[in-house]
Amino acid sequence: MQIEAFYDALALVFTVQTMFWLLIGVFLGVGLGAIPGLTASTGIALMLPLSFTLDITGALGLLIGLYKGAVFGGSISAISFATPGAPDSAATVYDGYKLTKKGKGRKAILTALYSSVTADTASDIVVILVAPTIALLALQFGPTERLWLMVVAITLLGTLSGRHLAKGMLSAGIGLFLGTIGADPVSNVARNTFGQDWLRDGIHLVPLVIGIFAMSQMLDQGLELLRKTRKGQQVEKSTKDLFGKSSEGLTFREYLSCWREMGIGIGVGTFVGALPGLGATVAAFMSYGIAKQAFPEKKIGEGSIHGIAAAEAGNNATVGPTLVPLLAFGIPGSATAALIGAALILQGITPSPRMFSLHAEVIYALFIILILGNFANLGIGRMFAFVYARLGQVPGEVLVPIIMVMAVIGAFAARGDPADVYMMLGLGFLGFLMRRVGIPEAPLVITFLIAPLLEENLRRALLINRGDWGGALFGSALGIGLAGFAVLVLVITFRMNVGNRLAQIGHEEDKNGK
Amino acid sequence: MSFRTTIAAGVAAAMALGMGTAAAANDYPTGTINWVIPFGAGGGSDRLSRMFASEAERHFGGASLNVENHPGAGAVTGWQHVLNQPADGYTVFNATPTPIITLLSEEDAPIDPGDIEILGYLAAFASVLVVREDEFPDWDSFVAALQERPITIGGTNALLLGAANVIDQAGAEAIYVPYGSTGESVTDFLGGHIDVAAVTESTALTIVPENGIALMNTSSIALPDDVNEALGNPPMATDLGFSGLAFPRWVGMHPDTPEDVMARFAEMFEAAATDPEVQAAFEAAGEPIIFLDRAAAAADYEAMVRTMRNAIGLLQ
Repeated sequence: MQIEAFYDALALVFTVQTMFWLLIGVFLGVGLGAIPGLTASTGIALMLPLSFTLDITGALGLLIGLYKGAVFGGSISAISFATPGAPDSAATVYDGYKLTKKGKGRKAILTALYSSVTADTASDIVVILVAPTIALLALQFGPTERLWLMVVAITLLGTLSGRHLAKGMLSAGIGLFLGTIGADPVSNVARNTFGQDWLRDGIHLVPLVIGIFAMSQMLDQGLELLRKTRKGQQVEKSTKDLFGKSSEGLTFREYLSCWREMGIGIGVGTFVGALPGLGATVAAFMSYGIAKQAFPEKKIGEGSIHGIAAAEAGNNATVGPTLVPLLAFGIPGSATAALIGAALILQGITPSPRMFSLHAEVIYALFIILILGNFANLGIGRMFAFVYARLGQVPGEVLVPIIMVMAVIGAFAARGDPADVYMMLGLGFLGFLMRRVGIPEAPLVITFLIAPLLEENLRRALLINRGDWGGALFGSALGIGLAGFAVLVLVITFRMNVGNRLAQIGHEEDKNGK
Repeated sequence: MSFRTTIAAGVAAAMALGMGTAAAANDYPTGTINWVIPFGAGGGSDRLSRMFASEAERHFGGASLNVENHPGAGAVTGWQHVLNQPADGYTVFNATPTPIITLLSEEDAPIDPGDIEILGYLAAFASVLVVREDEFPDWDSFVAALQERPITIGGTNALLLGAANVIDQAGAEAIYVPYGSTGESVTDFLGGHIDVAAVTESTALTIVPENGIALMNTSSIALPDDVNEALGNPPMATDLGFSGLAFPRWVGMHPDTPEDVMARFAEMFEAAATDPEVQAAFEAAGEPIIFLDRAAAAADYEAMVRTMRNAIGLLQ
């Protein structure tokens, strides 16, 4: 450990500005998470242009705080109205809402908060201990090895596709195509631009993410509003005085009794989070599913705090580890990691294994912010969770137009290019159509991120090996090993039908709930 | 209106316009000079332009400098924007080799790299070849190795052009492996996946001497003395009898701008770029000013475009 860099990092982090933006990040994050339809990715995408105007630690504080807050915040509306604030909280609905109906909403939200923060902190510590070692190993990864690592990420997408593998693959295919638009990474010649000059630089991450994650949801919700559903108003009445001080809280003994579920969440979340391509939703469902099968006596799924602990520990434990592939290999493993990477690049720091030696103070600052973010999350979650529970009741008539305007401003502000706004609107419409026919968005974004990297590395491997495909693909033992692992993932995904099983957990619980 | 009066009106209008331009040149500049960069807000070029605008504004005769970002189309959008503005000296274009490389790679490019009047360089970075000392102790052994076996050189497109330019003049060939950013190419160099990294002098300082040596500075412009020494005084392209290639942060104007306006701007730009206070600010930001005046910059620019035109074929 470079002690000087660590002191520099402390000086960078413990400033009024950094603390302010970290708190703002968590505060906004929990709120955004609590509002159904707004996810961590939406929030980060909308805040990214603002983060560009901050210094490096302020930007990291804002984005990481927002991420941590939003992953926890999703549980609030899942517990209060059986409407997950984000897909990663869907597994929390089963036990959480049942507890709310029994008048134990306060206990449920506190369980979600404490298990989220515990798992988040534990997985952050794992990241801090492990990431520098992985980064050292990462130097062994040349174009060939990186290429296979990205193939592994794409094969893992099968588990994100839910019951319809074909729909997931269609989404991945669209992402692959969008990723090839623009200048060819090797010869710098424009391609797939349909003769449009403004497409020469390719599709930018910010308009893509805002369009796919924010605008598409707002179009969807806007359409629902036009049809005017009455469901929201029914809920409003029933939750008014659910969280009064008089209702039952969570005892320390009850918190401790969840240690096994939290342990499962930490293990699953850390592992799944560190794999590029997967994320909080998969981790939450896996952790929930494992806990349910391992401890049938705890009646998970029937209104047990243990189910909440497993799901919420699982999703929050992915927050820190999702940065590992970014920091160690420069490969963004998720949309959120890519956005944090974009913020780093704008500050003149390219995520790569060398970051640990060239910008050690930034790495340490990031580690410190990861840990501090958990305390902020705990404090803000504890103080405002019950206020936030009301946010889910903000009428769509107010929310949808506000978010739409923010989406337009955000898409323009990132680079000041009006073309980005059109791009964002177009992609928002694409995302909307995909939602309507049940095509998941996550594979699109992940392949969009990975496709250019995959191509660059394949073509570099080919150049280095003078066009010899054998050498380019299987030139090293590490490359062959990773290729074998990719095949293994593919076989397991198909044989065990992982995507279907994950979807099944949700399906069965839905049936039980009725 | 008769044909004759139409012509008369046209002539009168033209005279009025001509006089207007002359008058404008006399009291140039007043108001705001738009400083156009073809990159988005937040990047390195943006940061340096904004620093220049705030540090050097007092040298521009009371006019204010307003940085405008016009990103897109491989940095060509900003250039097109400048050509679409009136040629009155109130729109300045500050770019790097990026748009030139885009234009030269394009089959039917919308504009030509010559569609600009160069008024000075603010900085010029070099492509330095970094190698492992045990493999290639000096330039001669490197050239000998190039003749014997395929050698891989990694870097961004611009920096590879600098490398290809000298290696071609030495009568040798290499395998050029393009990277999106210098960080990625250095990672692969340190991991032993490529033989040579073509990097800027500031990146070279992070590799030399622990992980490699600076084999050659392929630039046409000398490095600052302290940088050169820290890199172990690598030979320059010109020392070995080659024509080098530098990568400038250049400043130019619409080619139709009246000459006296351009001359006035070049004077003010020189005063700003040679001001010790401005230089100290750039030094502190780790991007020292390497100033070239109008004549020197224009000559280097012309040679650079010619060299790049040839070298770009070598990369493909």
